[in-house]
Amino acid sequence: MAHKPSERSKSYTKPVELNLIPYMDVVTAILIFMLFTSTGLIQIGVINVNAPRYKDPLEEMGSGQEDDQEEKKQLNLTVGITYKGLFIAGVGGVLGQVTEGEESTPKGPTIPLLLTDAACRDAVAKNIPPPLTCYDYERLTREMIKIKDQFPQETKIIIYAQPDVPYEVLIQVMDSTRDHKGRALFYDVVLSPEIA
Amino acid sequence: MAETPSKDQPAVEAGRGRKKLGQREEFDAIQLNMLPMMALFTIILCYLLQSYSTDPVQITPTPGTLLPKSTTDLAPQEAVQLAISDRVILVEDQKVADVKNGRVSAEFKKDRNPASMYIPPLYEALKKAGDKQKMFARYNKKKQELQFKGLLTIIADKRIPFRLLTEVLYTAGQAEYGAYKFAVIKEEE
Repeated sequence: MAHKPSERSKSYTKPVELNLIPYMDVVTAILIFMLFTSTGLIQIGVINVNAPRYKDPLEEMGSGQEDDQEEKKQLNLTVGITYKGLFIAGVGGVLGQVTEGEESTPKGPTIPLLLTDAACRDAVAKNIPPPLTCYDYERLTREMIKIKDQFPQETKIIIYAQPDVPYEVLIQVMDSTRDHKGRALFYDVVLSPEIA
Repeated sequence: MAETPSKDQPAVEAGRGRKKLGQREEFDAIQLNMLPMMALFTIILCYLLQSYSTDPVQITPTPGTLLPKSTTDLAPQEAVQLAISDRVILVEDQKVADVKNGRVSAEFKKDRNPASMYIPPLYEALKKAGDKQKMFARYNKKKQELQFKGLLTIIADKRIPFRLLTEVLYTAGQAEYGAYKFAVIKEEE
């Protein structure tokens, strides 16, 4: 009796095609949701700022003379943002206004506004808050570097502003005084109440 | 008998002439190759999931709020979130006071005095958020990250005036918050 020939060689498997449509549906739905809800493309950071600290008078009485000496050593570097420019002051007085043998007289801001733009000139004339670009941040950084060279241990800075100075100017001033090309300048920021 | 194309006549035109009117060519069903698109989608999805997992603190500015740009390299931390836009002040996404022309409306100020620095509804909201954190801290004394440190993340619009910011910080100070983190958009130096 003859055997029936094997059909193994004749049989073939049909190429299997994955049905990717359900997967695609899910991925697209998740992707759209995440793109709408995420702020992943915008990198958000923070700037640290401290509230002013007030010492308890009773504690001050109890402390010795060491604290007084430490206080004397402090620079109390202060940057004021006004409608006419930036004031830089320390324990000795306002930078650019004190000359030896003379009394301190107000001579305007340490770093006046850049008057290249008509909007800046207009702001000075009307005594209104100038736009962001009117302040000379590069010069501010240069001044901070000079001060840091003289007081390398100092990290504190007090910043105050006139009432209507925009928040973005404050942030720019903080950026200009915090560091320069990797060198830390004055990063310990304390905000002081406004000036009239 | 079909005409043979002349030398001047292009071959295509000559071919078209041979077709009968209404005759349709049969096409094979075209199958789109979805694999490259799928690969692309999967890569984007992985990137987004990764950025979600590496940023545990999500800061989402309220619609219409423009954050200032800064060169800071500090990352956000877990803290109570306070948003100041040009229209409203929010604590943890709950409205506490209205803002008009860069000033908090007098009805939200102490004694309805527009010159006052103190904003009672803001104080209440911050105190409530702080008390909640203190309660968590009481039950998790060993976990340092859950202790109340008076941290406050401020998500403020870049156009708000300094006066409004100082009023908010003054009130926050009354509610025992002493360390502020100003949210900004990071940019290269």
